[in-house]
Amino acid sequence: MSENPYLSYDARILEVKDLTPREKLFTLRFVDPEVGENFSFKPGQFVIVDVRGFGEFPISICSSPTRKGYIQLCIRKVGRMTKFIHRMKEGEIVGIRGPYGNGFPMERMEGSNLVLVAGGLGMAPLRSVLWYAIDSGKYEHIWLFYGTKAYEDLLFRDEIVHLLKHGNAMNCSVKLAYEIESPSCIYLERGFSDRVCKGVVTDLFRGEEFDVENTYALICGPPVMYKFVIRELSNRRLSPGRIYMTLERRMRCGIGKCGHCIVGTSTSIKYVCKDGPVFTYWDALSTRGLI
Amino acid sequence: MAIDYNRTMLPPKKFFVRPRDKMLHLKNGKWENGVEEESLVLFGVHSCDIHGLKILDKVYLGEPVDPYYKARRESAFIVGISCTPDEYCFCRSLGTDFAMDGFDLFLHELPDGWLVRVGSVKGHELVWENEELFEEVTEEDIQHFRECEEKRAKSFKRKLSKEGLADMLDLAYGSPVWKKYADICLACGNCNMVCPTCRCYEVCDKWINAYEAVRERRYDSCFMESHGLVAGGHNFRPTRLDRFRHRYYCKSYFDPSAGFNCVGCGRCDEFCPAGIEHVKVLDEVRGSLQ
Repeated sequence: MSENPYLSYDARILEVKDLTPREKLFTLRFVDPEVGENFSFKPGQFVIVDVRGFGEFPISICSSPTRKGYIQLCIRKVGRMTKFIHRMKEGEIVGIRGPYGNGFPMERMEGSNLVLVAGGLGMAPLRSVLWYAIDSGKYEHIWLFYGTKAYEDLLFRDEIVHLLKHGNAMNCSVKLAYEIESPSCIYLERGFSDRVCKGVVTDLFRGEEFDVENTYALICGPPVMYKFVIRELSNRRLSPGRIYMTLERRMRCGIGKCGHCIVGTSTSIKYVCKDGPVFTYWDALSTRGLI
Repeated sequence: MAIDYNRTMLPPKKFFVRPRDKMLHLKNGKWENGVEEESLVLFGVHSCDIHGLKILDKVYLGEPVDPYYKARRESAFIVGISCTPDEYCFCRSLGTDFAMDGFDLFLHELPDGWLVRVGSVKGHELVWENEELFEEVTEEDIQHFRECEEKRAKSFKRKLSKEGLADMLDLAYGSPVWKKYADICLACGNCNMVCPTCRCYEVCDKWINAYEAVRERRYDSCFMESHGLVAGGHNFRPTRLDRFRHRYYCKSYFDPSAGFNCVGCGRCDEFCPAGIEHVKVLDEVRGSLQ
């Protein structure tokens, strides 16, 4: 029975927190402590949430592996399954299987600068990287460029605003871009005029210099965002091998069987679930259709 | 029993990954394994289909192993049979017209009986247990076998030119030929259903009464609009052209560990209601590049 990779483990919902009207943060702990101890993951990996009798869906882990004892999932209410889980309360049980995917190569990037570029819900997997990098202290400097539609869509608002104020002490600079104006944005912009602006995420690169020999960029956002961010990074001559992106696809199994996430052509085929979801820009150049 | 059939509509994958496949059974809030052990004899499998199963093996028996597929594969006894190609077959040009392994016994028709190749320990044991049915192979049998094989090799009418195919197709990504055929294609997904190596599946939970549910997987088709759709409404293959091209790229990929993804069985041609022919599409795409 335990050999069946499609079986999920019981996890209890410890906390449900409203992040925005659309997104909730679920904090989960495995019911069996042994399962919890054996569950080790890397930033950028994902799990499959199993709501038994209703279905499964893939979600990236948005907590850092440095914070032990629980995992957190940031879930937007967009479909039948996510609507269902949004109705679940603290104390209820869901199934979790995973972690799946390759994750970000955190060891390889040690000692370098990290430029995290997040758009909308793309903040979720990058939050795992962000706190991993801050907690481990093994990275030179961390930039977080985060673009959202409006202040109301800002995920992890408390943490982000905290880092905006006190990030320097943690070698971390946070910059925010928003598209729709609101009093809260104007208030933030007044306080941090050099770091908060109206515009899109690529506007945040303005005025920032980083050593391209010693920097990695990590990108996650809606599909349309990638090419603009990559253009910005390529203009600065950041090597395609130093640009990491985490991608989304329809996934049913998470382990390279169901076939939905296959991308590519006759020369190169990738399964986003097991070869990814983290790919370099070089992978995207050599496998058609990744971005 | 028709042992000189051309091809079955559904390939033998249906016994290992079923069109509707019960994976898990939910009872009292707990999943129970849905794997049923039953032994199976497949008699009269053609070599292209044996190659098709070997490609599925790479997917389903690769880590992490799919327990349903594995249990059924291990309990199956496969008897291959020689065949005569018809106008759809192009297995010879892909090297799948002869199976070296992947079966327990393989029967080759000779003028005066059957030449039997033994492909596994299970097959060997079966022959031992039924010694009275078999005789030693003679020089004459080998001669007949050779003649039959040579005659068969000459009777193929279709050929897929594999040389440089992968690079050529990649270069022809924007070829107008894709569009031409995507416009003819009805996007019915027949080619996926009948393909011995197509294996996409969709998962669905279904309540069978107020207390019990099952998790089922069903064949999915990359011609369906939902195949590339994600939550929130973004579709990674929004047009029929994208989906049409995707299938050809998936079939034409040469996996260094699993080989070519098409075995040349000719099913997608025979059962295509729009009359689209796999080899012809690829030849035309190649032609559009020159």
